Amino acid sequence: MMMMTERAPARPHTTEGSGRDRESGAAPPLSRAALRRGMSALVKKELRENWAYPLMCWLVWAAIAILYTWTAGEQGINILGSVLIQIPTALTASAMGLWIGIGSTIRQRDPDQWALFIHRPVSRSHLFLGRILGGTLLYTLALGLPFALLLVLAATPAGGPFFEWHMTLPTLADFLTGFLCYLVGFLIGDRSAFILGSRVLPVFLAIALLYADFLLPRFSWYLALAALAAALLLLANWGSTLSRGYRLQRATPLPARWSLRILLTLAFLPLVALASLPFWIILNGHPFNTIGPRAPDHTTTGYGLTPDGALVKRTLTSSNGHLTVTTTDLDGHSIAPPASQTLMQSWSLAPRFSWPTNYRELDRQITTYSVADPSNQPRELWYFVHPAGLAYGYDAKTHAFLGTLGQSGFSPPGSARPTPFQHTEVDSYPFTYPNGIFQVDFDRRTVTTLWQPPSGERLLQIISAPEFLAHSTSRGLQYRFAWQLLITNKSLGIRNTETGALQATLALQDPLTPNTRLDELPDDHGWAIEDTGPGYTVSHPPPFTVESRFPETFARYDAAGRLLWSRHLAVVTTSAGAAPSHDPRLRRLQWDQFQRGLLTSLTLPAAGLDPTVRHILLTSSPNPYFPSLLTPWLNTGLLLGALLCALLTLPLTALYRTPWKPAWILAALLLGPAIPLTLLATHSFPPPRPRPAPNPTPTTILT
Amino acid sequence: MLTIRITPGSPAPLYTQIVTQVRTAIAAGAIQTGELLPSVRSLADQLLINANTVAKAYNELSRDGLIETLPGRGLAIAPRRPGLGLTKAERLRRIDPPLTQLLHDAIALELSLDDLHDLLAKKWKSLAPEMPAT
Amino acid sequence: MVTDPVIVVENLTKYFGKKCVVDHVSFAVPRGSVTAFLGRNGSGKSTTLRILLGLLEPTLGRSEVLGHDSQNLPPALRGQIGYLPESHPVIGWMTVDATEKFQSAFYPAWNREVFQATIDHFGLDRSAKAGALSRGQRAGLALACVLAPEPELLILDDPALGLDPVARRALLETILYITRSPGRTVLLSSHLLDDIERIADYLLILDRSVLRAACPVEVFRERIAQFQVVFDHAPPELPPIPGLLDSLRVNNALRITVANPPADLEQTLAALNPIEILRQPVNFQDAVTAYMSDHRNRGFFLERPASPHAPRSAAGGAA
Repeated sequence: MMMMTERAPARPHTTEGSGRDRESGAAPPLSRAALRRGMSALVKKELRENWAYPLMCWLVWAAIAILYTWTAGEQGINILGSVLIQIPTALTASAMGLWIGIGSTIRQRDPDQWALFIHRPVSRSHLFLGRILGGTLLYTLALGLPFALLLVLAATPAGGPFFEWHMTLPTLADFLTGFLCYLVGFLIGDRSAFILGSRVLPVFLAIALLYADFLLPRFSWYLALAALAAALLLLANWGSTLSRGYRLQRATPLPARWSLRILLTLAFLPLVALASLPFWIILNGHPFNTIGPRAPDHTTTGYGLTPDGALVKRTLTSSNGHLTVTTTDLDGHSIAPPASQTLMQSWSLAPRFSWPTNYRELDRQITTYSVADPSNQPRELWYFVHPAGLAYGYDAKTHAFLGTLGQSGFSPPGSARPTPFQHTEVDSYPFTYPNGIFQVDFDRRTVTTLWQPPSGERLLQIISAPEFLAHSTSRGLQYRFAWQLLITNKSLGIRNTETGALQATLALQDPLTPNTRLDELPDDHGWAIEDTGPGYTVSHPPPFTVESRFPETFARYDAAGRLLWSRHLAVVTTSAGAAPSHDPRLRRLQWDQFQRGLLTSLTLPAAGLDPTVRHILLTSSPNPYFPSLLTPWLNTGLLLGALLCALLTLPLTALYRTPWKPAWILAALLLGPAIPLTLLATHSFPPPRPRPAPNPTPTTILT
Repeated sequence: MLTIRITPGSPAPLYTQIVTQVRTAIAAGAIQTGELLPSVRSLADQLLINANTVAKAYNELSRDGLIETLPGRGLAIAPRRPGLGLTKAERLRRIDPPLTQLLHDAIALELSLDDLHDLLAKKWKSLAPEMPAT
Repeated sequence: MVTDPVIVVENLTKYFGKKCVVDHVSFAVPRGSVTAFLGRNGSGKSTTLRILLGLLEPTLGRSEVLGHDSQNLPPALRGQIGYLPESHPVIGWMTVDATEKFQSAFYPAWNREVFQATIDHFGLDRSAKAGALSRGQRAGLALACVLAPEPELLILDDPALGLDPVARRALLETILYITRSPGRTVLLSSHLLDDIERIADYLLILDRSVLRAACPVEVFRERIAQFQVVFDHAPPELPPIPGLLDSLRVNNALRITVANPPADLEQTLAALNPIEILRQPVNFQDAVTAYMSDHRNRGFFLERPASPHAPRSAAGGAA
């Protein structure tokens, strides 16, 4: 209305009668029954109009079923765990959803067809509801039927010897993904925008959802994501039907408007990332070649345990494609064969990937143990379901249920289930849980407790040297270990599996208890690392001098032999002989990393513990696997880019009179080009600049 | 029975065409006093024109006193009134445009005033024999 | 001035990008009228109608239909407005019968007789598929769907487009049928001026997105005057005449068409010393055509006039 002042003198027009409500205006809204009649007609129309989609989907699934039975000879735990089923379910669901979404809305692209659809005595919200209901029904028909058949098949013995209800979760997640893709398709088909501009953009959302469907490790995470995505998409679609997506000029409800903006920004992000990849490479070199273990010339150091319980250091040097392995003692002295050759167990000190096991991977969620008969044929199959903490036994031939094994032992079918193994397992090899190490004998169906931590302690990690490396047994499943390195939240120990006793223990101070004198601690934690021959010295600026006994656990050197980064857990003593103080914040961070498995390396002195060792210091150089990608050049580039985007956003917010300008600018600084692009995609460009009313010409006839 | 035909696209508006035809018919005696005219709606339907147009034509005719409303029966041709109830000047004014057109055509066809006079007299006799020719 | 309007439009303006499609248009449509909405292709008629129905959003200005803002038409009110879009859309896979079933579900007051009468009028078979109908039959079906709810206001966007003479006649009869019930209003855009002359009593003319006329048809006809000015020599240059639409020179005669002829026009013309000044009646079609065509830019095939007000020579005329 800002043009009001500029317009020509008002036409000789009064609008008598326009203000008062006419009898026609007071026409009663449709009764509930009439509205229901209209809605059901609408849903029926949607179904009848798009019946070909479900049909097509059933045909596709019939083809998949034929292909599966033709190719898949041997079944795993269950067909639902098969990639040959999981990939088609996800792909057909998302493709079909997208297709139904676009196909059922694109018909109304023609403005007259749209007018025919929208111009009736039903509110647009109701029309939207009818359309969404119809589409959802269509989608459910198209994929619900094949999926339901699949689940029914999976639950019967034909689907595999073992079935747990949570095996159906991947299929349910795929079904959900397809529904979200339907909503994405709806947005693409319904929203009025340039077809090659922001209109097809939500396709990236569909791709991202498909990725999330496969990658998110927990079903509940995906469920939360799906709920959020569905809410945003439904709101955006509702707004699109209300306004016909007229670039938000019509009074679209605020939630719908913001949902669309958020979705478009999210969809722009991968596009922007893809577009910025060349710049990234120019500024930073190849983005992946700096990852430690893949560097062409590198040295990694690991540790090993000899049969007599001594720790040795193994250095692997890769140079020009040749790998040299050097075994030394912890002081760097060479060890003469055969000791170096008969390593019982060695472990790489790489960080353990802490991402939880994906619920889709049935073979990782469920470990199969088979009990062989004398002729070495599987007699019983035991499925240990990690999330449940229980193992279920089945006869290998008849698939008959044998019973359940848990921490408290065996229980036959029909009786109450045993107590499951508690909490998340630390290791499955042996059955290691925070509350103990157990030996499970599937043949005898017994569970023996091998070791339990003192009360108040939780086992965090176990590094084992199993005995069967020395002499393996073919009968039964028995685990015995020469040595086990046990790490709890309060102590470290080496356990002799022969005697069952802890050979050496080291009490860890509870790292979360502040015991430091902050005033004496420098703010930064800039440890200096100095090459001092066989070992390295990790030093700290005065007044503390810290000497590291085993600082290098995993390191990378440059061509000149200089350490580029290292990751280590060092047993340190202080030169002053006094207890060192540590920055509690740093220690908290390190302890947190340790617990999450990001910082896992541990070394111990070979023979017992040095009485001078007072503390264990966990320190880390920048993560060796993902070294910082933010080089100075890149930093500058990113900063300039962010500023440029903010500068671009500024005139756009002014042009479109966007409220909350600072928020938009901030968003542009953080998210880059996605923000100005979203602004452009949700407004018409160039914005209309109405000229003043033309002066009436003498040839105008108005009464 | 009166037959009215209209020609869309002619210079005269549709309602004028109706008025003129009714007038001519009355003058020529094609319809008699008291004869009923078709109702507004039926004439509109018959001619495929807006009923308002017919109504407007009938209004004009009744304003000129050519037709009258018979309660319960409809519109009928009114009894004739001398000079249509109009002043002589008005009547002369109304004849002016067609007269001008006639003269234009006559001049273009190189007819003399006498030719025209003869022609007029002849035509007059055939169309309105009962009216005095002079 | 319209005292009882069903549609009121004030300063309605619509831009598509930088292009102005409707430019500060204000008018009112009287209740009970058949209002013709004229204008050349692309002059903004369809856009105006879509804005009236709340299908498009105006850049500026406002419009009111049946007393309600167009952008916020209550759903119940939409039932009172019949709208026939330009392309006569139907749902292609539905039969005529299914179309009626679907449409009538939304209208409690659906009049089956009107629907039946209309499809009979256009010679439609109930079992025919809507997508397979001819253009005229499709128009009939679309029209039947629009008429059967017995709307109070009927907005027809170029209903005669692409219709054969028989279908056009059927359409005309149908529109006239609607106007029988008092208080029902028809707003239609069309290019068929003969038909418009038959049925319209109110006129809106949109010329290149600007409203040029909003008046009863008779007023429009009265306000367009044509003069034949005959000289005994070649006609002189015309003085500036406000409202001049067209001037055509044929030998020694000058024919000028003027909108809103000023009172002193005859004096102005007399000052040119003609032999004769003759006011001629103009037929409706010529009046509208003269009105909508641009006398400045017309005449590509004719000799270019020296000045904007200089009379234009006919092709065969003396230079």
